[in-house]
Amino acid sequence: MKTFRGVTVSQGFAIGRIYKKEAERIEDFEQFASNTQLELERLSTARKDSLDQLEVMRQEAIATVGEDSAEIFEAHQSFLEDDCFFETIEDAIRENGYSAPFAVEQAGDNFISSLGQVKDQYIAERVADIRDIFQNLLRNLTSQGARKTFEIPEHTILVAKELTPSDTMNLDLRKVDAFITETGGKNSHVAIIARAAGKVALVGVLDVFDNAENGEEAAVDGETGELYLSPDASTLNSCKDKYDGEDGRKKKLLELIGKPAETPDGHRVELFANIATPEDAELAMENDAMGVGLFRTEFVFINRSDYPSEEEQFERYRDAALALKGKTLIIRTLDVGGDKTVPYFGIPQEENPFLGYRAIRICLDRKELFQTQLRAILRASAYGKIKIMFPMISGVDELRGAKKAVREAMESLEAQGIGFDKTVAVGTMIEVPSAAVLADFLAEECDFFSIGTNDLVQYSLAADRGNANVASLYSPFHPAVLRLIGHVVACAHARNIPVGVCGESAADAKMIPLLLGLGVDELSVAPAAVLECKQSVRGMSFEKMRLLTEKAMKLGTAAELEAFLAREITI
Amino acid sequence: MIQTQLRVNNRTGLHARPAKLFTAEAKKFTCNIYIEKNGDKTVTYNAKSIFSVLSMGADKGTVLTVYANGTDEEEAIKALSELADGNFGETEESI
Repeated sequence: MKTFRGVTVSQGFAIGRIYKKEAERIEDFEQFASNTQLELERLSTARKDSLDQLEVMRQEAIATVGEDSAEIFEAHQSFLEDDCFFETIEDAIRENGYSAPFAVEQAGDNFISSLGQVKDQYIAERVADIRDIFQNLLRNLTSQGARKTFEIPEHTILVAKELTPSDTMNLDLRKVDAFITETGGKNSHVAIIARAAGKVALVGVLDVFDNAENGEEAAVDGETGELYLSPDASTLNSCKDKYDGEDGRKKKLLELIGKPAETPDGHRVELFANIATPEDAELAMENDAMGVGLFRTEFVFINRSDYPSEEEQFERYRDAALALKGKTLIIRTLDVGGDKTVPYFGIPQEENPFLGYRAIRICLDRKELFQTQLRAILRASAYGKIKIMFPMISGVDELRGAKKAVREAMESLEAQGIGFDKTVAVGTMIEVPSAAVLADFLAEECDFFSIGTNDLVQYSLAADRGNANVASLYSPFHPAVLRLIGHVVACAHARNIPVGVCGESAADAKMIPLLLGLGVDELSVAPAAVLECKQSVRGMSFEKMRLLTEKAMKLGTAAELEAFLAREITI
Repeated sequence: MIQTQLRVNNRTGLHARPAKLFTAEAKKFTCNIYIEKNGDKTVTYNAKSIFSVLSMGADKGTVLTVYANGTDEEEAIKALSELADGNFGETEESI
């Protein structure tokens, strides 16, 4: 038995087998190139490809581990958008006759070594992230292809010298039981991912990579920060005990599989998951989601050079429906624009994209695009219980326009004799304040509502949480937001249609009692958050939630509300 | 050309998200914006480059001299000063 010690950055215990993630090898390349123009073009293409791939990884990260963990990819994007830096690389190509990959590699090495001079823990932890950016650029330059996913067995204890953000997105996180790295710190991406996924992670485990063998049995104790290679019987037993005992929280969550999402006094909630791909649908099922409350279809459109065909879209939607085995699948029609850009859409730069040409506004304008998607969704509706939801509706006109488009798609399918679910439900996303205010009119003309809290909060409070100067104004606990939600629910219930919430608030343990207290019928959260959400639902009686909400609604500021909830709700 | 001195007061320094916000703000202006760290005139950093700003390694307490040169230099200096005064959007408890 060999014992290694590191720093625990995500708590937990694990027993499994070692899988060594080798550092990425970049193919050899020439130092010099004769055609400068060609090298500059290669650089520009690789930069663009990297940006596109990052967008895909960002969306995947949002879908599997949540918005916070996805932020790193946004940071990467801002690096790749740094024109000043790329100008220095271009200069090196022009002036020294370097090949594009050599110039990139050199710029990366120089930058990383300049960071090495910075004596700061946080920056030291970012080195893996920075290396990741250059690795991805080099991959794209050496035509090694964009991403290489790697297969790992179940119960893997992943050992690496360094794990980059891309590495963590290129493996099946479900099969990893522990992350062990030689470098990194508590703010490293691997630490963030491990915490989000609820897996144990040790960093700073020196010399482990060369000492561990692939397939070797190992045990990880997050309490002591120790990793045991080929543990002896007594060590293994003590780890097992800890695993069984201390890991109760996770086990408790797993025990919730199969149990209803119901308060102790019997109030049932529909607990759904948000997904971006058919594969996420399987993850949602494993976490016992009762369906999918938000299928972000943007994913079908990004990271490609042209529009997906009806057939391609149909296959994706159908696969998701099949994976859900008859459970509800709410598909949101395309929501691009705002911060989600797709180059081939050719949408001009806007002064204020969040108030601009996005989502349903684009779809109602580009009829062919919308018809293609609606036909694909309707065709998929023959394979499951699909509902259609429109994003960014601001008033009744747009809802009518969108429904008219659905009817047209239905008529064209009927004319061709293609089958679909004729009773498919259509819903409105409530994320624009005007739609919330007019919820009574909208409720007359659709089958369900889904409140997108992220946008509703930012539009209601006119505050962009990405803008440091006003981010503190952004709060889902703002009384104005809660009143809007309460109004939407009242309007919907008066007309007997259900209301869901699919923003981040739906996964917030302090927000859940308020949402349910206000009468929300369905919560839709990231697959990894479903069981925790269920725990919150089962943790408080509906009566108490309503009393709590009643009191909370009498408070006039977000700060008062948050202080009140902090006192009343212990997690 | 005008200049001003800013102090980095947030706990984590001008890193990651604060650095991103800083460069994003600087990029809104057409003027050239350069930074010197703690009065060292031998190295200048480009305020519009995330790579450059990060390599500066500005911890809490660092004094930055910001130079702006161009038609909108005054607005630029004002905006960047406000960002620094607001601790680059970080509150004390955030990590």
